[in-house]
Amino acid sequence: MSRLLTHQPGLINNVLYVIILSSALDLVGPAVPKSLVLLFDVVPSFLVKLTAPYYIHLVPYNLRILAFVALSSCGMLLVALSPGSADSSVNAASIYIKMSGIVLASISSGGGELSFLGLTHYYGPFSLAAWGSGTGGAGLVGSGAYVLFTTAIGFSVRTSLLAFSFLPVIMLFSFFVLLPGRDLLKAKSHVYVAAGQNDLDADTESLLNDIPDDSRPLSLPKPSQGTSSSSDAWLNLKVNFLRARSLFFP
Amino acid sequence: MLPLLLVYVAEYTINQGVAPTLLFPLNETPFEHYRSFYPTYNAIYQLGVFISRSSLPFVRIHALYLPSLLQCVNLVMLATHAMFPYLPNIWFVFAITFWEGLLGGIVYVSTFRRIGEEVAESDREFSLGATSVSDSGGICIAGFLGMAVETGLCGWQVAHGRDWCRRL
Repeated sequence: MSRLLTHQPGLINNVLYVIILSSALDLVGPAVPKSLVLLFDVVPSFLVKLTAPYYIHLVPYNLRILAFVALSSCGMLLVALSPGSADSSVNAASIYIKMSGIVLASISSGGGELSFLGLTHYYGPFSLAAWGSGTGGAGLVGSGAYVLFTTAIGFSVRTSLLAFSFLPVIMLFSFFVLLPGRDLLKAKSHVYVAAGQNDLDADTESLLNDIPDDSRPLSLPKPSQGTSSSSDAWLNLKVNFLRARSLFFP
Repeated sequence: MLPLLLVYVAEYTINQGVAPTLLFPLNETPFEHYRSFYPTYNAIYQLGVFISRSSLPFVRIHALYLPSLLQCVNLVMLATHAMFPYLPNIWFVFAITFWEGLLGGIVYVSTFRRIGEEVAESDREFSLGATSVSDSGGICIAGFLGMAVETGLCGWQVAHGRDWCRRL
């Protein structure tokens, strides 16, 4: 049972993104291109996923989840509570508010995806299967739920979006109640295991060889956990850039 | 990252740019309005994604470039169909859209499975997070491509006597 429930983070994390896309036309009216909504829904996510891996390890997972839940709920509330496009006076201010709500939801889903994918490292291979299935289900549930609420049941767009803005709260329940071993995560979340510190495999070693000798981690004293100096941070960043580069072509 | 990026560029260019122009005469389809095509394609696509993203425990694929290239084949196939209709009926488009969803989902989960299995323990947590940029990056690129593709294809169809993409 609890295994089934671990699909929830994937489902909840992506479902608002899908709901926003489904409601694009109702949100901004026919005058604004729908691709604009898509871009506002994706670009912030993209920027977060592009940059966050290099600094987000400084924030423990439990804080991240709290922040992302708050962001996406606030984002959805902004979208729902700003005056709708239905009442003909589609004023620019209302569209700006909606777009900023979409940006908040997008930041949250990008950060959530990269955090939960990182967490699958601790939860084991099954968790990746559950995450993947949950995110896949989000597409169906999100588009289905929007049609169900607005067309089949006949709720207004605003009421439906208000209801959906409470969905992220389920994530709190999954993460803090269902998912196991948070104590372990709390302890581990402050630093990536610094490369070169313990099990240095061939791949990493060849990567590290690209770094000039004077800054090789092996020649440095062990990075002090949590209170890393700026040169350690710089080194960490460099190592991570090399890791990312090696990931590009599988 | 590259296969995941590629598959998403092709996939979202199909969804945003090509799918709105994949229209048939209404009497040959189950639909009564032209606006029904697009959400139906989207639902079929989502179903494919859900199935393949859920297939991780049952299906293992190692090759990541192959499905990405097949997705590009889908894009070319559907775009050329939009220009020179050759698929006999809408059910072929439904099938290709479902296949498109299957391919996209399997590349997503297989990419992260391979990182989980092949990347050294010390690099893994970072690598999983860092690779997640690929799908959003692909969707961004496709967002821009899609605008041009949709306008271009619809314009082409209208110029060749098919104005369905301008109707509702």
